[in-house]
Amino acid sequence: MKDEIEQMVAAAKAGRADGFQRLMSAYGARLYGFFFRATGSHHDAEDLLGDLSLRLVRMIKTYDDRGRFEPWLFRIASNLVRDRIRRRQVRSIVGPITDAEGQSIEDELPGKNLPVEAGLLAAEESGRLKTALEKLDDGTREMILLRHFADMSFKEIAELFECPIGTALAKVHRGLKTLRRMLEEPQDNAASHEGGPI
Amino acid sequence: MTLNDDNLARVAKHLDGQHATLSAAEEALAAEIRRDEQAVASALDVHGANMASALAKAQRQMSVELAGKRRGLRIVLWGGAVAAAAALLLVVVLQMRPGDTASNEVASPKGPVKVVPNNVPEDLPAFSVTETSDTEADLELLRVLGSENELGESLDAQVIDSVLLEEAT
Repeated sequence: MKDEIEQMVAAAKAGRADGFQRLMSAYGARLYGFFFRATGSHHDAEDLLGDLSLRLVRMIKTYDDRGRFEPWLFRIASNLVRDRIRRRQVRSIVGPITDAEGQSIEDELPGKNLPVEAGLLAAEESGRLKTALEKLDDGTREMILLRHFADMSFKEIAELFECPIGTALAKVHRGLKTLRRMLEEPQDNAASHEGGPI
Repeated sequence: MTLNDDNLARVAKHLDGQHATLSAAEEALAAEIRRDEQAVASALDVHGANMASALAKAQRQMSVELAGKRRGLRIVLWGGAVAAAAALLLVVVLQMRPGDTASNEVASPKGPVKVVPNNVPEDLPAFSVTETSDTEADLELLRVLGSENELGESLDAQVIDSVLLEEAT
């Protein structure tokens, strides 16, 4: 598998389209999962995956072959998520943008279509997980998602978050406990947690 | 038992696959984290039609970006080739200008070269050639001037002789 990834990366570095396509086929699903769980929105996940594909084309030459490819790729993904969350927070501080009739324009923007998204989430029975993830702080949520989707080690997570390895472990441990507890709670209790923004 | 930073670091290294001898408490923590990760793993996985369409869209965006990059590279390469060809053409045109055959000799980096035939007397002013010139024509001119000078010298000698003769008489 490692050799296969090296071949894909080499092809992509040479500017060959098949190299990029194979990389996207290999990591696309995991990246999408990471984006979706981090933002709680299919629209944002789709958007971020598109952004990442462009960055991959532009930045592949900066990848140092001596390291593992996954942490490098998911570091870019992680930065994209942080930017998106920061922008969303700024938007929520500024307040909703309204049109002449006082109707929120943001409601019409893609990714803010809550009824549709709520329906999709209900369809895949991940509403409780979404709520549980919302309860975690941004850093802890990202660490857990990077462990799961990027298969990152605690050492790599500690480097990415610039914290001691023990701190990374403690945060993941606490976050996992919270997630597990909320996922195992009866449905009624879980429903009472819903509604908080990510 | 409360675990300190060193304990946690050892557990993290153990879970990363590095060799670390753990105490019972550390072992218990490592096992707990493994269990929790497995418990939430299936819930975290994402499937569905949304993902397939997102992947297809990302692939399309990537192809467009790659095509744009290749187009940009082609433009740069063509631009470079055209500039090089234009420079080469300019050099060739400058080399082929008429009357430029002696220019290599006279326009050396050391500055203007004095073109003086060997048989010209010393008091004859030398000509500095700073621009393109026909060497044969220059030499012909110098020859004419040189012969004029000889004629002048012979006339001078005749005058002196006549003066000396008058003085003597």
